[in-house]
Amino acid sequence: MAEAALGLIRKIGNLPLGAAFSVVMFAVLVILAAIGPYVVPYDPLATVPASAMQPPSLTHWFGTDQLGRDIFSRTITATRIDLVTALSAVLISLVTGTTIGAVAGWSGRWLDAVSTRVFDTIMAFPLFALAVGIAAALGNSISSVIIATAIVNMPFFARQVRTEVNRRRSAGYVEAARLARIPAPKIVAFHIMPNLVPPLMVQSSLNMGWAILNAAGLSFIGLGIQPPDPEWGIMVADGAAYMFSGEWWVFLFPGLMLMLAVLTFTLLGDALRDWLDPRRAS
Amino acid sequence: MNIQPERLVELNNLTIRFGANAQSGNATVDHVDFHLDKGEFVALVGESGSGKSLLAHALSGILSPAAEMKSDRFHFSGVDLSDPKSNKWHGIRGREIGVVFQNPRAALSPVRKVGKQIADVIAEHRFLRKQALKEAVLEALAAVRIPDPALRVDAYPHELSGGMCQRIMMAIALAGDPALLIADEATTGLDTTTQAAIVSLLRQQAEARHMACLFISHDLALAKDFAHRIIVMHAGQIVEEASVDRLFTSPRHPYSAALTKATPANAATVSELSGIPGGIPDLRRSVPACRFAGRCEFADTQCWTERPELAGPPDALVACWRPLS
Amino acid sequence: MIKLFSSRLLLALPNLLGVVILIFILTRMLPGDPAAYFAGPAATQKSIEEVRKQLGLDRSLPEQFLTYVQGLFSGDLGRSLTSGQSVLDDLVSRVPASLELTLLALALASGLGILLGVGASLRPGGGLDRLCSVVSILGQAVPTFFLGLLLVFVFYYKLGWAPAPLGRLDILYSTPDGPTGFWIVDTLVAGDLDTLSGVLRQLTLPVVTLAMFGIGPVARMTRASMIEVLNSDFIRTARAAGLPPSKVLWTYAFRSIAVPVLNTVGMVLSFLLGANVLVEKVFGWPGIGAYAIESVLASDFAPIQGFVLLMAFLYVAINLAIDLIALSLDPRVKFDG
Repeated sequence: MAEAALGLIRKIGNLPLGAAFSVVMFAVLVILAAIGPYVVPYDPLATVPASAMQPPSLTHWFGTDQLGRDIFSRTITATRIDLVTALSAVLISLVTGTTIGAVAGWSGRWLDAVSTRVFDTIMAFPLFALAVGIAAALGNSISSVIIATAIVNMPFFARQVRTEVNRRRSAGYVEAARLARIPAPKIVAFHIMPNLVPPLMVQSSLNMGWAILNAAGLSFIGLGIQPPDPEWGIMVADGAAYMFSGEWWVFLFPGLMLMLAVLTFTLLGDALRDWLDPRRAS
Repeated sequence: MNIQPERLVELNNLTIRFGANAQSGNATVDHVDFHLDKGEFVALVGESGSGKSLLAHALSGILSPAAEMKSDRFHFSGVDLSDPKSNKWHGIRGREIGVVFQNPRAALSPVRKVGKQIADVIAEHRFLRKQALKEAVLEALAAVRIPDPALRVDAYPHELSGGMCQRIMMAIALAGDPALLIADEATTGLDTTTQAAIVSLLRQQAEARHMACLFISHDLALAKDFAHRIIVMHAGQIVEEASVDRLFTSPRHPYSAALTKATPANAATVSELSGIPGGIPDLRRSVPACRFAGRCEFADTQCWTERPELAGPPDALVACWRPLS
Repeated sequence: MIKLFSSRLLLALPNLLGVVILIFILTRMLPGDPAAYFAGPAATQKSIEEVRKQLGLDRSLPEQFLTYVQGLFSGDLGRSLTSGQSVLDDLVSRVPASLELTLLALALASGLGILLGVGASLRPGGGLDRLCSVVSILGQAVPTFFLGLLLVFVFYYKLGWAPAPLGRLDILYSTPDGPTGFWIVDTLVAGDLDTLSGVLRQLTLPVVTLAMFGIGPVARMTRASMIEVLNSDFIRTARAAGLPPSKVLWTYAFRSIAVPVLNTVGMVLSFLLGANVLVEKVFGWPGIGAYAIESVLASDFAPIQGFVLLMAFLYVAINLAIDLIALSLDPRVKFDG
């Protein structure tokens, strides 16, 4: 057991710096999301007016906010909601994008042309503005933030799957499956899709980063998750006002955590890509 | 240090190495001696990969920074050019030495009018501006026999034929009125008629301007028609250097012999050779001292262990332990 | 040229139409009864029905869509519930503030990105190359609003070098009154250098914040294209012809990769237009992004719809402009749709 752990550590140590960082941080984030709320030292919602606006100290590592809530506990607790929001959005875009992309890539013809055009249009659009519009139209709730984030991320999956499916449509093993009278959905699902797992993993990781940013941005402007629930974007927005009276810790720590989370998934995506396709590594 | 008055290029013991061959330690251009007199026409022939283009790059001062170049002496018109980064190259590169490359369409900027590209070089070397520059560009175009120069100055390379682009390249190479013109596979990829026209233009311009000319080609027939003297390269080494007559009547290196035999008419090229077994050795691995030894029917132990020096009378130099008589 | 322009415009129309359809669908997705919503909180059943008729919501969807498009063509984007103004007027009065900010940021990002990318391409693996990858990774990972707040904290609160992040101009100055609404231009036209310096001081931090996110993509594209082109035959020709290195680098190498770089700049501009919303909130910038946020918080949908439409319009205009510039930069770019 200890030997296996040592081996794992050695393996991570041999990775390039960015990759090693992302693997370790990814594990940390997952653990925090899973058990964070149970291990934090203070109740993230408990207001203690007597100890409001205390700078970072041994009792309050990240200080306290205007209501005396412990910022460390709030920042850690927020990991779950931020990651779950982003993960839900990415899963929705992954599933819908893959489905649409597979159908478009397999059928070709006008359906392909139209969907390609639509996705190109969405991707070239100022995405955050589009997300604001969609989230606003769906009403101010977490689910509309998730759906808005999913919609702006979906074309990235659809386009990738479309290209790959289209490319493999006439491959030898697909022709063989067709001659064996295997129905098209089965061919796509069992013969083509397995090849697509690695690139989709890379894409999902990169999109996780964007989704976290997008969701935090939306909550920063007041859409989605509402106070007093701890969420990084809101905490930064709340803390911004106190920066001008010198209480920098209120906005800084949740912001750093947010940055770290996005960095983790971006680097993880890059590391996965280099690992799965060494030719592209530079 | 007694350079004869008519000597233009004097290059002794040139070696060029690349990091990619670090393991085998093989130089890509190996112990090459080269000289050229003013107004002389010399041809350099060899298969692709023989190092002839690399030698041309070294001679024209555009060796890639990845290449490590060493020589005992590299003089051009008495100027020491042995350091490729030396600022003595300024005023020689493009002005005293002009180069015509192969694949003319790719060798011209795709987004700049050809007239502008010629004007850039003329302005750089002849310090002409405005109207005078314009006229000089038109003259340069006329000199390389481009019909309707006034019309062509505003064309982009993709609007011109390959032969036309090669003439533009020549105008660029001639812009500084150089003492040496290097034609690096300048006719490769052009059709036969255009090839002949370009070669004759090359000869005519070089003679009119008293330029020396280094004609690099894998086409032995073209080289034979063009040059006074022929240098044969194989895998980075010069194997034979002789006057055209001697090389074709009595070649002494087995490689040159096979080359000339395989060039019966004026159409065959080195790449189509059938008489020589194998290909150019892979320089990333260890190779025999005479790099032709592995392909040579006469090779013995000495060929594998000891590098032959270029030796013999001036019009029939050969680097071979077992030269043909 | 005019023929070319109009055919490009024609090609851009489907994109615009697509966005209009999307927005139309979005408005119909509004939770609850839109008629009750637009009639306001104090409405009676009767007034709601009146509003429904007025809005045409009692008709079929295709009919509604036609009326909607007709409205758009006559410039009718509806009315803002909060300001009571026509949405079109609101947007038009705010758009220069946003564009001045975004375009300056784009110029800064492109300039720095190109310099960084060219520098990195000259020595792959060197210091500039590493800086290039750090900048592009951070540009992907740092939240826009967080970087803005950090810069405000350091340069305004700690160092006192930057003015307070409270809009386009300190109240000490009188508001520039010019025709364009771009205050740099307006103050320059009026010759009011004092106000110009005030305008520039306010612009610095938001422009830098926004620009930080554009440098990475531009630098990466420039680097990759330059590395490829520096090994190309025509660069070898230019070198062998004895042209000075700076001329080889810019007139020959960079000039030939202008089109891919330009396309990246267009992509970056689109991204900056979106990120602008957050930067405007951080810096109290009275542009269309801040307007959209106010409307979102007030559940005032007409302005949001107008905002997204305006973005669509800007996006189509940008792509058109980029196509045309690319056409003038590279003679090989043919008109092929």
